[in-house]
Amino acid sequence: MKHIQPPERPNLKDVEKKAYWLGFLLLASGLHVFEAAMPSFGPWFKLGLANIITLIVLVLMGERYAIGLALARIVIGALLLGTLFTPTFMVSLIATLLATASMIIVWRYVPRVSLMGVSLCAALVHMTAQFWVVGEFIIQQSALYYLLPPLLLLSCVTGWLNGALAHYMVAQLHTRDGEKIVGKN
Amino acid sequence: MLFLHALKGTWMDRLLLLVALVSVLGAWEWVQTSVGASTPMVHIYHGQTLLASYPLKSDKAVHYYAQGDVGGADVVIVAGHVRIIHSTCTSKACVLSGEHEHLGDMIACVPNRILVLIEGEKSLQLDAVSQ
Repeated sequence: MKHIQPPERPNLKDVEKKAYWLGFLLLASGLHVFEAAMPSFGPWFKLGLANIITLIVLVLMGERYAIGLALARIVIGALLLGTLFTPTFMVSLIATLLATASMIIVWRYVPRVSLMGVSLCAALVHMTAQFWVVGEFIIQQSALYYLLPPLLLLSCVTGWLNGALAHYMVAQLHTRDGEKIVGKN
Repeated sequence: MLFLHALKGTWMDRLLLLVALVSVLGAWEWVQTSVGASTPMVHIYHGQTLLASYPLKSDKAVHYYAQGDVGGADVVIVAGHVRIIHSTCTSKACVLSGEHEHLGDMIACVPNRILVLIEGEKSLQLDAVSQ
């Protein structure tokens, strides 16, 4: 009689981490769609609420999970909004990936930075990347950059506030685990 | 309390914010001086192609249909204001952006690749050349 080996049971920690990641992904996708439904404060300007979740995942789970979440959130959000593979989707995808990359670089290499600084840089990179993609590849008009400075100023405000919110939420999540969280040393 | 405390950030955060603010305000000042201060004109582009130019302040209303990638957009210039009243794009962000009247203002319809720009005669050097 042939003996069949039962499949190896997955590590409970890994399963729990993936479940948390999926929960964060749902939350980020929901915020993405919610923001799209909100009245716009200007062309291509959004509050960046979904980026709060990317920041939290970056701190709690690591860089690979943060990039995965940013990518999956954009695709799911576009599917729900019906904008998949449209120019808007491409702008959003490139800007989000560059913003996430900037978050990782700042978090990893800038000393004494907290989530406010990380979020600020990500917000500025996101806004600039949007203009770069639209200006260079879609509308192809450099005059578009006239609009950039006031929107960057708004990005400074939203980036800072989102960073503070992410910091607060990470601190709450860590407090529940009995650990203390402060800005990166 | 923790949230208010978090708002302060570290000294590195504040330094990054200061650098960002100074750079942005400097760029804004440069843009303000570059958009020109003479007669405001409305330029309507599709990609790099200049489709039409009209003075913003004119006695008669102008209605221009700009052909775009996914249809087109109806541009109306009346009483010193310009707006897109209809577009074939899905988001309608260009229509919802409303009326514009200041130098440097613009309306962009990304799916149609249409840009409506209010510009003075002394324009930014890096402006595209119409084909």
